[in-house]
Amino acid sequence: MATRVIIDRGMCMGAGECVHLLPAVFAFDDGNRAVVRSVDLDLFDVEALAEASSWCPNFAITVERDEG
Amino acid sequence: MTMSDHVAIASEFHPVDPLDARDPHAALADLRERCPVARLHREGLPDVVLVSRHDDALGVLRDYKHFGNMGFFPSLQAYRGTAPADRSLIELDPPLHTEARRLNLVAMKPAAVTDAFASIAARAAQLVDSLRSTCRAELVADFAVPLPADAIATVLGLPRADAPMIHEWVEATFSEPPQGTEHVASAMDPITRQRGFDEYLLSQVRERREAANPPDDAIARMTAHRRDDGSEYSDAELVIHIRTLLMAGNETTTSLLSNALFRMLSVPGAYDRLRSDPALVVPFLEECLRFDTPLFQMPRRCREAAGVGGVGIDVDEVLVVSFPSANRDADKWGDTADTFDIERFVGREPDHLAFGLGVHHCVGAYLARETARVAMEAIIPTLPNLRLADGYEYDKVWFFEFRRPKRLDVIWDNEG
Repeated sequence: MATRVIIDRGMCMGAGECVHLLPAVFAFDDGNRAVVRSVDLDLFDVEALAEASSWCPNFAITVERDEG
Repeated sequence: MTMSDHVAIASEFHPVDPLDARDPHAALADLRERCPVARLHREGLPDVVLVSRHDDALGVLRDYKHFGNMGFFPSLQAYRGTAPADRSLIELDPPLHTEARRLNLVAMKPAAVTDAFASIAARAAQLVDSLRSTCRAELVADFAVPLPADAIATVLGLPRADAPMIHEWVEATFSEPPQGTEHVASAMDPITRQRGFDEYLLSQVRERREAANPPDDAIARMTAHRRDDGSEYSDAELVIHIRTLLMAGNETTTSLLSNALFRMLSVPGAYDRLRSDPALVVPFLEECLRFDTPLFQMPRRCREAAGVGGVGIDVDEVLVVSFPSANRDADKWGDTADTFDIERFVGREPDHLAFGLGVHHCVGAYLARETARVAMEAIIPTLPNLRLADGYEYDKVWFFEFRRPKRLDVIWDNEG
């Protein structure tokens, strides 16, 4: 299994909904925009990751998981 | 707390009364303490439910399923009677809002804004430079009005020479009180005026649609943008969205910048600290957004009965989420909620409510912050010993929608 969470830096403006929903995965960087923490994303429920993505007001977050 | 308590406290304050909005913090603190979800009634003004606590505000703003963005309409029925194509971004909810937001992000996404920024920073420097030798200015009219007007016009691709005219159209939507009248509701009527404004925008859209080689600007990209089903937006729809961006992108940032300049020159030590430590500008601006929240409130209309802070809200009731109140709530901000702390946001995420929250989070927040930052960076090192003019007194703009000083009379020293 491989999970990727990508934040489009050209879209993110630091609204912070992802950080609010999943602080274990998302954080603010020094410029107050979102980054993905260095964690094993496979350990997280893909539904929860997709939920965090769906709350981004700027559609900046893509979640991909290859099963198998 | 019973329902009658909610009504009783209500009559003392109303969020769309310009006189109550002048200095609202004592009343808002009282409401947070005694009646955090308050049904307000005052003759001649709309009945609203004021949400004053930070946590309740978060709950309402995130819950678009129960609290929709149709508060500007006189009723839920009127909202349903308006075709989705005639609604602006702030009048839509998912799923229709989602597509419209994508259209607006074509212009307002940080990547697009960043492309325009060298030009906006140059404009800030040019404005400051034009003032330099005068040693006095009224910084609202001379700086905080023209710069954001120029910035949003530049980002959209409108001629910069048109920015002052656009600003006048926007400003005309905020009313001054008629002479001899104390209480008037401001003229935030979404349907009025605007004919000249709309005709101007329509000509800008058509120019791009009809051009053999349209310019590579945001309006041209919005014109070319397609919905998920492949359909394009009509000229009339584009006009609504572009007009809303201009409406939302002028007075808001003018307020942020005016407030920031006022605080820089009135909070003891702030000016010296910002001069010696440019890295403080960004956290300083976040504290300005919290302490002097430019936008007073956003309305929501209840679509399905729900509870807020233990109070039942009925279908069709209008909730008003008070941003300045949430931003001074001691449950969130602690003992220093009412203190201007220049370092509050050093190493802290900007977790205030100045740009709203949830799917409707201000689409122009990035542009607003960046415009204010380059403005402060242009002015701080350039005008020596900048200070408020002798006898200056803060006077808030009349209209209730925004908080900012009407004027900002300043002086500075002549260079060498």
